[in-house]
Amino acid sequence: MPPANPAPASVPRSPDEIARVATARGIVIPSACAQGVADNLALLERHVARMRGGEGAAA
Amino acid sequence: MRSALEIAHGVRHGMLSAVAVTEQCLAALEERAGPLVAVTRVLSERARDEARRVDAMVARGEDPGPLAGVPYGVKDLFDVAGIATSAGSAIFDDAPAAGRDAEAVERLRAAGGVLVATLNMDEFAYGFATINARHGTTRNPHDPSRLAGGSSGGSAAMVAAGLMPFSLGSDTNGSVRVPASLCGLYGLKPTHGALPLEGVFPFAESFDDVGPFTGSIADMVLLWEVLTGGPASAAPSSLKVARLGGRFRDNADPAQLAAMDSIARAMDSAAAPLVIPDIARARSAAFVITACEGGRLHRETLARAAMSYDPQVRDRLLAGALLPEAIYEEAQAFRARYKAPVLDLIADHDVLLAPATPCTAPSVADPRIEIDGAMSAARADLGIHTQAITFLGLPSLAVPLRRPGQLPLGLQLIGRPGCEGTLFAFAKRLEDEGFIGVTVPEAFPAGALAGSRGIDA
Repeated sequence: MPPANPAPASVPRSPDEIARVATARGIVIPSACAQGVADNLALLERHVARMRGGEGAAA
Repeated sequence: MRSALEIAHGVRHGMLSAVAVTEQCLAALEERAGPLVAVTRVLSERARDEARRVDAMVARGEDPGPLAGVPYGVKDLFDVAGIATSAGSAIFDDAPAAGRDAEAVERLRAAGGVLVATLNMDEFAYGFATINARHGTTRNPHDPSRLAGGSSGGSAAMVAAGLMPFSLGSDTNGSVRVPASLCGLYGLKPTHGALPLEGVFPFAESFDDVGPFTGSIADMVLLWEVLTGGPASAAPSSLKVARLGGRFRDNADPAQLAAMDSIARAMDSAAAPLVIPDIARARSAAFVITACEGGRLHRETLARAAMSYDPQVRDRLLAGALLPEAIYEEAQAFRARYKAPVLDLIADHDVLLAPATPCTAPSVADPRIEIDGAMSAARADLGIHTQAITFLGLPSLAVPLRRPGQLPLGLQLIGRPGCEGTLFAFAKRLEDEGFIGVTVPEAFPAGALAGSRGIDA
């Protein structure tokens, strides 16, 4: 039986997690892109948090 | 520069030759467009063919249509028969040529329009800056050290410079309205799906739309009629107008605030600014949906040719491709819940006023802007005020505040779904009363197609 309130999906952030998700989707992140992808995932994580009513949502 | 209406009137009545207008436009592109970094391909042969066809129709006593002999350009993501659609990227250099024109281009051609060029953009329309690794950064005709905005920056720069009377762009989250604001033009994001998208390279299907840039509201109405095949919706005789408050006013130029307040007074609208709840959440949800849909669209190409992308676009698309599907579904669910109560909240108003951009054009050397008191990338955040409106699917017309001698700034006139005609009628009133209007940039004082269009020199 699934939990009543499953944890919301999260944005991949650690290098291992990013590599795992990329592999699962058939993508190899070129080393030249690693920092840029990480920066953009961090930005997306902030937007996801705001969408959920977190920091900045009241702005 | 002559307006589209003036050129078409002259050509239809034998006072102007479409070929002569086209040659004048092509010569101006050759001589003056280079520093703007706005043109990706000049289509001389096609343009001359289309112009000759128009003149031949006039000679036979036939009417070539309401855009007879009017030169224009399209953002480099519209299919143009005979050439590959680049979407601003080198990835499609070896792609097959499009077999036919995009539907919007076909409608313009059928109305007598003359396509002269494809125009620069952020690669795959992912950005608000028109900083393109392959073609370069499009410059603002009002100050070439500043951005034109994006992603349809080439389309805006060419019209603002007077090098063509109108152009087409696409607007997903603000890619027409942002450059219209920064370059001082009229730019339309229609009700989602109201203008034909067939043959336009997609970005984020939930929000993609076609939109024109013009130098007057009369030309915008003309383009609407040609692209939709009929007149715009009728406007009510009395308009109820409201200013949007909250985050829209917290991140605005004082000139925009003053203009919105003056317009409200002129409309006898004494009500306090209307605050749409959770607008920051809505903008962020639009940001997330866009990232997911863009990443999904490019996933296969990224897997085999990531290094062929513009680096900054590539990293954004890769990040979007890695977002969990559950987050996308969550954002879409939020959108479904959010829209109805907000549409109810604004239902009593015919037009909402909001800034189109939070500031004037940022510099090319330091392309950052201030949002909520912190500096952020113009590429990602110039659309802070347009993206939230996109989320609601509402039509929004960017209009230029009349401010000769200063950098351009625009407002959004936001309407109910399907009520573009109300926005056009209100813009005409604002134009007549001197609140809005195009200013000729000092760097391009005469434009390519000399003649009057009732603008400030």
